[in-house]
Amino acid sequence: MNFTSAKYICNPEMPDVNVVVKAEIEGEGTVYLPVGVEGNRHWKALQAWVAEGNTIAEAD
Amino acid sequence: MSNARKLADNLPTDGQLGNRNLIINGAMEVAQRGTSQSNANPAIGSVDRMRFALSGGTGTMSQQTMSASDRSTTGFDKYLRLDLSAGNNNAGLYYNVEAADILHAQGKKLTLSFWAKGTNPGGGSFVVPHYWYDGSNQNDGTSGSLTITSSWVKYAITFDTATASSASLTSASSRYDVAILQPNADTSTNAWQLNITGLMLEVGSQASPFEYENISTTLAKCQRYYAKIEGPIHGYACWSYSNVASTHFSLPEKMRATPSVTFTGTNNTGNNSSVGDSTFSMYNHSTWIGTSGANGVQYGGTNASSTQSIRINCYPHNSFTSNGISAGLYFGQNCSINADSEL
Repeated sequence: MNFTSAKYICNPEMPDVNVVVKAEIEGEGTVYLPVGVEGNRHWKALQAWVAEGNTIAEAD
Repeated sequence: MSNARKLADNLPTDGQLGNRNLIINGAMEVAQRGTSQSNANPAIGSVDRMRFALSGGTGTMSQQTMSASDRSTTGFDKYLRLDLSAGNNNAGLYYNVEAADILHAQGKKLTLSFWAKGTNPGGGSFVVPHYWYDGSNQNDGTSGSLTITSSWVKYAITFDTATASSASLTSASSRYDVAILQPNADTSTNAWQLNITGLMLEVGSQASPFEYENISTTLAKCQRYYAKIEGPIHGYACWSYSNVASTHFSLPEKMRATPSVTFTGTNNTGNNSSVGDSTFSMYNHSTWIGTSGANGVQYGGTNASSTQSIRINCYPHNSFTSNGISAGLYFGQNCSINADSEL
């Protein structure tokens, strides 16, 4: 799973709480993945991408 | 041989008598994402539950329909085709069994059976690896081998279930993988083609007859891992905050984990003239206001979604006439909201 970008999206009612990551994944396009869900393979792969030194951009 | 003897020989000697097949969609009938895919990193992009890996090769995987004579031979209407114009090692087909579904196979034998035909990788055969995997640790069993011919033949491969020495079998990502691959040591780039159907994995040392089931049952099983909410949808979203309206969609089945979401369709960033079969649109007080090009429709994610329903936030292209007023939604017939909870 190859990420090319990732950015947090916050909860509209609680702007301090990130609830989604909007990610671009090669072959899958734009994928919205829930933050911190154990068992979600996109989230797990994103953690590996971050561990490689990449950064999830902050929400607007 | 008497009929009673034939019946006795076909009865399973291990495991239960029903629901024996650990593989979902082994008849290759359900293809929610479409009938052909070239994306394979590896990924499920055509037939549900069937994961395609190119591993540096080139090719496609697709759902095919049997000819009448082949249907008579195999008993199946659909089959899966992996068509590699250039092979590479570790290219092929993966199937992920959710660990909870196969824990009872520990310490026992497993039998993988299927119909297949086609051509072999350059080295002359496929390898059939199988292993526990928890997202970090992998514990391999002893791989099988497969050599196919140009005619439909039913194969059965029996092996000992891998021993889980380091892999956790209870984590949310735990699974048992079975694959049919170009062997790791075979780095040839020869073209090959694998046609396969009637895929069945069961506890025991003999292959029992394939368990046919109606397509609605198979679809429901597949929707634990992938589901589409398809347009056309007319609905209403509740004004949420500032310039956002939100709604929830129920998922057709309780999914394995809170899913990721993709959207098929584009945001209607215009007005009436842009409302179409392939656009996500909103209206407010009888006026089409479109969806924002920057935000459009978005997934609500954690804290607002679950394994049973997902929150969708809708951002209008033009402002609501006033805050606190709900918005209408129209998602065209070519639009879909795709929920992915694959292993």
